Amino acid sequence: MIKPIKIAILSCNHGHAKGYYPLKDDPMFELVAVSIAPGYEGGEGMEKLENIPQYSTDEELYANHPELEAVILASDNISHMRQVRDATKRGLHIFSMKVPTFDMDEYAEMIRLTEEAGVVCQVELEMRHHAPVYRVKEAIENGAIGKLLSVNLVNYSHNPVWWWPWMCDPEESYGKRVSLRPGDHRFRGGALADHPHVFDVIRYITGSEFGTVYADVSPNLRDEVQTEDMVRIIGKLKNDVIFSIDPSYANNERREYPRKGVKNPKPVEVFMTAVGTKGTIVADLYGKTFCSQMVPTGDYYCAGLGSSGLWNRRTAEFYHCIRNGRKPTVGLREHYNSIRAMNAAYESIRLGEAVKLD
Amino acid sequence: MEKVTDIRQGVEKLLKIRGREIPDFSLENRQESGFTPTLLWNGKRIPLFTNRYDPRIRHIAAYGNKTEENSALNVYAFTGSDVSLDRLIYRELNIAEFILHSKIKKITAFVNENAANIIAVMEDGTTANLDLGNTMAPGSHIQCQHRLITKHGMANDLSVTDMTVQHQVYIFSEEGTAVYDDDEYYLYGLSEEEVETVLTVHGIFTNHISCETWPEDHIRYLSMIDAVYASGKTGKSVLL
Repeated sequence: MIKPIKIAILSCNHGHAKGYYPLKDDPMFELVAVSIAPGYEGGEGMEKLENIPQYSTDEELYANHPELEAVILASDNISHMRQVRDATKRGLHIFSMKVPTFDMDEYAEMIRLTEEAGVVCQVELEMRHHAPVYRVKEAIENGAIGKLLSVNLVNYSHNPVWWWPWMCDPEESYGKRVSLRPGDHRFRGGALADHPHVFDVIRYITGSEFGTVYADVSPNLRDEVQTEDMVRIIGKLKNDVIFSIDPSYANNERREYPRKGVKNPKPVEVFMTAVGTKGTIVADLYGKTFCSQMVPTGDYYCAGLGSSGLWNRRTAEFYHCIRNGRKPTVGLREHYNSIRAMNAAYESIRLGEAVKLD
Repeated sequence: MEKVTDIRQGVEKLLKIRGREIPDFSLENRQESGFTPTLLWNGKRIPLFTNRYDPRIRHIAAYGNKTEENSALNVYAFTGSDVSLDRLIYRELNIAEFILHSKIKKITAFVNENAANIIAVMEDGTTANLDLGNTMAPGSHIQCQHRLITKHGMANDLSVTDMTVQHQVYIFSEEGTAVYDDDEYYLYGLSEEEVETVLTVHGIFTNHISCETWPEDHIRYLSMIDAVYASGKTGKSVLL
């Protein structure tokens, strides 16, 4: 028998927040309230929150809803530490966006707080629930291409800075203002900071950790943005498989058409290749695509159809972790080494040389 | 229609169509010369960068001709095991310089048997990311994508939803699937690679293609192959 979990969504200023608004109609959950970060009122999808109590601060939300059991941290990265402290103090289970924090001391504290409080902390890394990812993993494990030699992922997206400004703010995205490298006008917190999925997928598919990381940046596509747009990473895993990651904001959104969905032919894409001793894999990990041509502009547009039911599967997992003691697919501890590798990539850019991870 | 049967015949046919003189020349194929076919003409040995004359590559390069607008080139290229990794590295570094309109100044690479992942930084600060491998069955059609990302948009030799190289004609029958890549009517009968060689030679003879630096560039590309392996061995970038 399903006992709905009383849940709140905090801040509502993360691009994925809108994916959780339908929880108000999900029998596994009771969407009790939301808080909305100042300046982000009226964001995409918020019309679905009609009749859901809305607050401008988390404190106000907590004061009015002592019945809460769980929270979704749908917020800018710099807010996550505070929100984890507040939630664990109240014994609330946590569903975190894909970057808990880039500060590894804070990260260690998050692990400590959640484990001491005995709460579930699941990290939103939905690529692990994409069927093509599982197919590739299975094929590699079954030796379809022989011994794995290289694995290479590309995660291109538009830059969401125009509708979620915090995402290219160095402090709000990376946690602090750190120059990319000496003499560079840009700071950490851009495309690399927004794309942890590909680091996670490589670890998931190969079962190995990052050993050596080398990264470099190329000129920004958007002069107005103070964080990195275009970045590429190569290196070697601990099992000697070499890898390549391109997590760039390479799909140039059409700023003169701010209406959602009208951007580069494909707003977001994730594809991969892998080379083994006996063959090669080329895969689109983002699911089937629907293509259309817009009138009157003539713009050609592709919508990733993704995996239907994806959002519900992830929150369904969260439900079973809370109610039935299951472990999340990716918890804080599991995700730690992906964030470490992302920091190593930033460090490699700064130093201009490869960085080894213990 | 009578098919063209070899490269020389193709070159002569295109020149004749326009009433042009046929110069005295000879060709060495790729197997004889190493990495590229070689044109012997006017007392010179000219390595032919034929891969640049795949029409899709030409168009990407034309799209990227506003060099201040370019940012990066993302490439994957996988061949059958009958193509050496060295030759694949040569081909793709060559194409990268052509598309980005800038010479490579730094190479960083990781190499693992028949796979190589390379970041090439150009003199103008743009970069090329190359994921390469040669472990498919011998004779396999190359699977590759070249995506140029610029401030004013993107150009790609694959269509938006394609992950693999597409063909012009597919014939599905009881014998299986046959694919054909004929593009140039007047060179019907030649393979894609042969067509690219004909167009390159024809372009040189008609002054549409400038090849003065190609002998020197060829030497540079050979040294870049060494740089890839050196970087892969040491874990350090190699400045050229």
